Amino acid sequence: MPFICFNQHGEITFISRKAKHLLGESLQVLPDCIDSGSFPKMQPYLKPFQGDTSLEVNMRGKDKLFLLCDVHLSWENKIATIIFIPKDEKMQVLEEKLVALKQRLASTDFELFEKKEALELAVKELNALSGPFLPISDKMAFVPLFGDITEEKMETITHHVLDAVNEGEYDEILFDLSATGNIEKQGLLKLKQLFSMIQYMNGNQVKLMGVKPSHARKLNEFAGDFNIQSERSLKAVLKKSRP
Amino acid sequence: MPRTKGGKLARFFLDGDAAGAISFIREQPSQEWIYLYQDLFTEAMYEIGALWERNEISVADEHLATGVCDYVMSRLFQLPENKEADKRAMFLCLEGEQHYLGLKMVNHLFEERGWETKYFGSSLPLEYAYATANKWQPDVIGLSVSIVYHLPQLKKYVEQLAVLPHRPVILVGGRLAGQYDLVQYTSGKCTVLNNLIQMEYWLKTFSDERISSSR
Ligand code: B12
Repeated sequence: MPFICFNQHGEITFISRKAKHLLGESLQVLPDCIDSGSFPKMQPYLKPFQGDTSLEVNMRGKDKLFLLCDVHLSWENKIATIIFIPKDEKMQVLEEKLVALKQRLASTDFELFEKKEALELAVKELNALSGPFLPISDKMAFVPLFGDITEEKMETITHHVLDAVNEGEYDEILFDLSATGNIEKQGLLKLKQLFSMIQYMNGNQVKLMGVKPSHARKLNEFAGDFNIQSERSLKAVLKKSRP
Repeated sequence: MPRTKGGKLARFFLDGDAAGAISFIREQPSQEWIYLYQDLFTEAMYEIGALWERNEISVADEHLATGVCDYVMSRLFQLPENKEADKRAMFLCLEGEQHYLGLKMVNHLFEERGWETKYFGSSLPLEYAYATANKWQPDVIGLSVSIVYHLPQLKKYVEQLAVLPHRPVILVGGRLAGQYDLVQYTSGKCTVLNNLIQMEYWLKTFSDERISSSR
């Protein structure tokens, strides 16, 4: 049994062999082997009393700062004996697992958060790539749209298209819908806004091509007043501009 | 039957009754987070510490209560989509320190007041803290410490983080903040805040100074 004895002044008078093994050799007073946070809990029992008491207390281990123990304390002839039994290792292991789990949860949470941020950035980049601004000549530019026409994507595209229009002097800007899939209403409205902004900037209507029958229906449904010129193909336009 | 609100909440935590805890909190006349955290959650956890000292519960019970408390906080604290934040703060516990609940509250309150934050919770080694802070450049780094043996670490953390090139403000809180003169201990390189009311006051002064210096 690991046990120690102490007197009314808190001076340690005896340390059992097992106790030395757990707590170290050179203990002189109680604070040497009881954690400061556990001291108040022990306080009422540090003067002689009848009977005995059992408490959960953090001892200060030789190689463990906190050695959680079940402590049994009793007084006899002005000497107290503390028998202490370190808490089940199993419980320690469980505790450690719990902590590890919590930490994992927290870090996964954080990683997920960072992944989400990275993903959002990637989507933005992808969106920008889904509507590249391609100058064909000094006067003419071509913007093929890829994938679904969504609000988010159109916003990203609006950004760089307007920048490019602003920098150049393009009279004719062609948008191509051949490679697009689903058209969302909000996406189309954004696209329409972009077209009118371009018209304010260069004075010319945007030309739209690659309009499939399904697109035409959506254009009508979502934006009946969609005021654009449409062209059959890039080839036709190029032919017209360079006779 | 516990008489204080903190005591009642502690009961729910110890019974593992998250649903009970949630409705108890929802019933409170004030739903302000700073008040809920200071007067209910913190009090409940302190009460749990007192119950342990009175030998009425064990450390195993504290673990359960901590889990429930954390869950309830995470469930109830939801922020509307973040507006553009212009102030950054990161929060961490010193290496080895597992008492993170207080820090989590502080992190929530900063977020609620429009800060962008990174919250690392318990036990973040100094090298990581330093590297992240150097890269992300937070205006404020908040440290939390509860265990006495971690005080020497605190000195190291404060000394290293305070001299980062962008000179962040180092805030220190936690159980020990009110018990020792940590400012002197860290050679005056940090600001010590004992509780959430002090934190709120500090935040207000910080923003006021910001506004007047940007004019
Ligand atoms: C609950 C609890 C736990 C929980 C953890 C809770 C958590 N995740 O935070 C669990 C069960 C996991 C735990 C584990 C342990 N604990 Co413990 N624990 C407690 C207890 C009962 C309450 C702590 C708490 O949650 N307080 C509530 C929070 C909200 O308060 P707070 O941290 O002070 O934070 C407030 C302010 O300080 C401030 N704040 C905090 N951080 C910051 C940061 C900034 C920047 C700012 C501005 C403000 C701020 O905001 C908060 C809001 O009010 C205390 C008892 C006590 N009297 O404190 C013991 C206590 C802290 N634990 C203790 C011990 C010994 C342990 C263990 C070794 C287990 C054991 N054998 O007893 C392990 C050690 C784990 C580790 N390595 O860190 C001792 C420490 C003794 C010492 N010598 O230092 C205490 C004092 C108990 C005791 N009397 O012995 N513990």
